[in-house]
Amino acid sequence: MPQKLSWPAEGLRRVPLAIYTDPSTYSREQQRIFRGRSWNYVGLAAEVARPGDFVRTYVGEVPVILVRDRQHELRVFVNRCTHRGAEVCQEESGNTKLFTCPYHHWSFSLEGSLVGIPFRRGIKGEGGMSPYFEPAQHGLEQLKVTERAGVVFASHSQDVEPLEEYLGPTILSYFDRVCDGRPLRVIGTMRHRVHANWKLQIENLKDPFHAALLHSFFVTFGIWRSDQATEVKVDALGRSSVLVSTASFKKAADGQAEEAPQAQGEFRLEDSRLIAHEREYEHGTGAILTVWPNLIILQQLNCLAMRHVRPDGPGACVKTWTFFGYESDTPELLQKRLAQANMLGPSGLVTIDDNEVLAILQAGASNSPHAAAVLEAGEGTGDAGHMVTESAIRGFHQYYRSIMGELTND
Amino acid sequence: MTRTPEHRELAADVELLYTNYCEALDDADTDRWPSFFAQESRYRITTRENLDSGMPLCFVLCEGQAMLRDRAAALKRTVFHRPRFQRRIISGLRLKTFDGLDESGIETCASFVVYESVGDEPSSLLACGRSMDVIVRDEGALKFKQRLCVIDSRVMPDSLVFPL
Repeated sequence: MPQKLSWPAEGLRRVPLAIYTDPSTYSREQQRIFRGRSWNYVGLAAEVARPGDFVRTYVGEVPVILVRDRQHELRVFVNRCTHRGAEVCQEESGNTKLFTCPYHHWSFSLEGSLVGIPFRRGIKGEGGMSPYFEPAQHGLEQLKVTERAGVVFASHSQDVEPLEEYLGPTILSYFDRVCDGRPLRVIGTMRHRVHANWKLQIENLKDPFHAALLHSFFVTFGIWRSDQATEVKVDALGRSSVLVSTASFKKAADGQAEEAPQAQGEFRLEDSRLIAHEREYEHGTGAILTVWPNLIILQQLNCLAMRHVRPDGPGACVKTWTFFGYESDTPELLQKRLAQANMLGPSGLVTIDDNEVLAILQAGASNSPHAAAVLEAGEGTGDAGHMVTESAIRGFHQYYRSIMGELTND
Repeated sequence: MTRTPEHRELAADVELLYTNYCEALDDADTDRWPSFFAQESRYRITTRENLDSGMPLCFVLCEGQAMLRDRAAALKRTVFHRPRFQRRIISGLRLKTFDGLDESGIETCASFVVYESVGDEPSSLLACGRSMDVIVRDEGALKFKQRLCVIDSRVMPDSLVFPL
């Protein structure tokens, strides 16, 4: 008998750990969040530059194909043959004229129409499709698509608000800070499974003060101090937010673009290329956005990445980092992006900390389904001009609860 | 190519380098790790996906011993991770060239698998792939001038904490 999964009386200052492990909550999230009125990141336009280019990706758990059609329009299809339900596209990326299911060779155009049905009239006049069968009704399921500055989002909802409105003015301004209309260039991907619920991964990027404690790489090597300037900004609904931080750098010399780390820590890097960065943006040396539901847009020094967090059952998520720069990057700037990427991803000197902590958080949630997380740092769900606050996490759960409605626990 | 006794001796020396390298890393002796490389060296871990699509991004990119020592120091002093043991198995080691050990180096290729044992879980496969390396003689000892590890899988099953 399902029981009501209740939020403790403290309200947003508590989060029941069962929401990270409960299968029925997970199913409801797929339906209400990922199939609901949300914009889901599906890729960069640069990945599908020419007509026929496609990449395989996911909206929530649902496999989809992002493709550029013959008229250069971007389309997103559910990767499912409308005949028997097999995935029509098994290649991860490529260029094609048709998507053909290997089972009975139903073929779909780049516009999603069913254009090929072998044996439609039978063989030698015998058998074939029913006269009532109408191919026009069996095209691939299409999602609504939008693009801004080379970043592509899709939605199962036809009446979702425009992306700009969805992000709100503050988040939009930080989105535009990195994706400012210059053509983007993908420089590679990192993909890894994190053994934690997708929400824990998103919340980690809404938590500004773990950085100075967990990430001792920053502190030990004197890159980051707990008193450094940090700002948290949350959108009006609480669902998306940005952390803006300013690391402790000083100019190596006047007139040089390169900034070297201050020697504040116990140790110094022998080779500062790992962190030596070239200032590209005003307002902070790093800005990390979390866009509802499951996109992280990372700008940390010269590393730029779209981090897509795909839910993979209640206890895991798959993180895909699409690193990018601009078509206009100098070779020197590209080298900085590549060298600094040592801090990120499955072998990242900073990210490993997060992957590992998230795995032990998930284990904790599994072991104590009746316990709740305590979010008492700061108050409310609004902006803060310092790092010791959990307001962005509370904002996330405020919106999450409004979308999910009453939860039950199996 | 005909194999001379000198070739066989070189192949045995190269194999010993890999054996010692794996032993040091399986013992989590990250301090020793940079010593397997020449001063001027390049170490990379990437995926088949990035390599095949011509993408320059790597999981790990160290150029020169100093960057290797920085990573080793960070792994030892700063990175938080659950306790784990690793086991490296190298197979199919082949010398692609035999000449130039004291100049540009000799090329090797091999397959690798790495198992990992974390907590109470059974040992599991962390990574498998292929290495394409360049080995030189540096002050009498064989060292990596280049080591490129290319992982087969698209999605890593977990963090790749220690070097390959």
